[in-house]
Amino acid sequence: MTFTREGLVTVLLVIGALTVGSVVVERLPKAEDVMDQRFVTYGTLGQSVGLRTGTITVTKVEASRTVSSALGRAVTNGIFVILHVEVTAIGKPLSLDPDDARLVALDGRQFGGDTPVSTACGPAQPGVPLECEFTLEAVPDALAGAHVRLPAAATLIVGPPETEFADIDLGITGAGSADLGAQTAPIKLRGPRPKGA
Amino acid sequence: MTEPTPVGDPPPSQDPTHVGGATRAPLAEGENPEATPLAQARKAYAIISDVLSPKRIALLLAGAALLLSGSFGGWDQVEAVEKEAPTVAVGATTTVGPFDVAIQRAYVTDAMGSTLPKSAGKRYLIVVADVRTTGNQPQDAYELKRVVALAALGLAQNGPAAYRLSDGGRAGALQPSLTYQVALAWEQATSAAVPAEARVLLSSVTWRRSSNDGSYYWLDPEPAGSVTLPLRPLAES
Repeated sequence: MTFTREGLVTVLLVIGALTVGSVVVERLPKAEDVMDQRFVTYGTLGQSVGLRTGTITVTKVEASRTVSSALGRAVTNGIFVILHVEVTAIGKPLSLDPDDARLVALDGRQFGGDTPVSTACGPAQPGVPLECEFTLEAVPDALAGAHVRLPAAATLIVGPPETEFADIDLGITGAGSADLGAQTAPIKLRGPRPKGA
Repeated sequence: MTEPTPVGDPPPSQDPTHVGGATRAPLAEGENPEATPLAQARKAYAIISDVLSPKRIALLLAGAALLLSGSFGGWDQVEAVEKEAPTVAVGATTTVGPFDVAIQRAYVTDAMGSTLPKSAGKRYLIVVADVRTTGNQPQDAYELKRVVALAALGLAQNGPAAYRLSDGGRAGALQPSLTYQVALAWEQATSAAVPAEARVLLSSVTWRRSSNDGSYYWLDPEPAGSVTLPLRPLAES
């Protein structure tokens, strides 16, 4: 086999083309990036946020170190934030899982998940507003300026993750956060019920 | 008159390059026409002898033997010694990946209220620890199974179960910026002896993508600490 100048140039051109192609492919958006892209609708306390599954409204924020439900009682050395939520389904019944909610502090800390005391939120029937409470365990210094992120539907163990969210500013000021953090009166969760019941 | 054609074997040829009709190159000077494998090896070695001296070959073979031994587990004992968990004092904080953990107390009991009911054939070994999530997101207390172990015989496979001391409830998500007092409970068969003291082993884990399904998990446990503390009956506490 003999090496010629033309052959060497060809090899260099092929390597160069592959390198450019690789860089271009790396910079192009990937299919999974598009699939996992989040669709967020923003709102504020008391404002209805429309999602594909229905509308969600956080109507009130309470806090306490002790929360109870029909199933038990939980005590924290942080603070339980109780969000009063109104849900109206569109088209078909809608269930939300309070464990999917995340309280997002201004500094990026997130609070939520499997809470010691929580009640279900659903199924909300289409057109019939349902009231329920979401309980999130957090720390008082995370409350000022905090948002809550609620998925459009309950996250399933299997299948693709939920990509549509409501992001609601809870409107908690510095003074409001101190006030919430000082609350000690126990709160009893009522569980899901039709609005006004 | 012509000479008669000879009968029988032909006379030996005078030309050694034409044996039986075949043709071969003339032998080089010093070449043995019937070289033994040893001679062939010597000849091959002569080509590389200026680079690979017998000493270097011996070193290479020794290195290869070590590598081969390691690939079949020959270094496990050495690694076990190197990875011996450091001793950690009671109450000292150890970072184990998702959590900072400080082991505080250990108890043995047959039951603890309605949370750990009395049951024939089993008792409970309980370790109380302060646990704090290290990152800025909640971590499920289930992950404590990966990082805290108890050295004792007869323990159930699925332990420990984690409970919040603040309310006795099952520990779920452990939030950032909060330190939880958690009771870690292992079931132990009563047929096994109660250990004289509790030896708690801490492992640190790494958050990385699994090669199995591409999802992220806390994986690759490494010994991070060993805490030895007295095991007291719960009633005495």
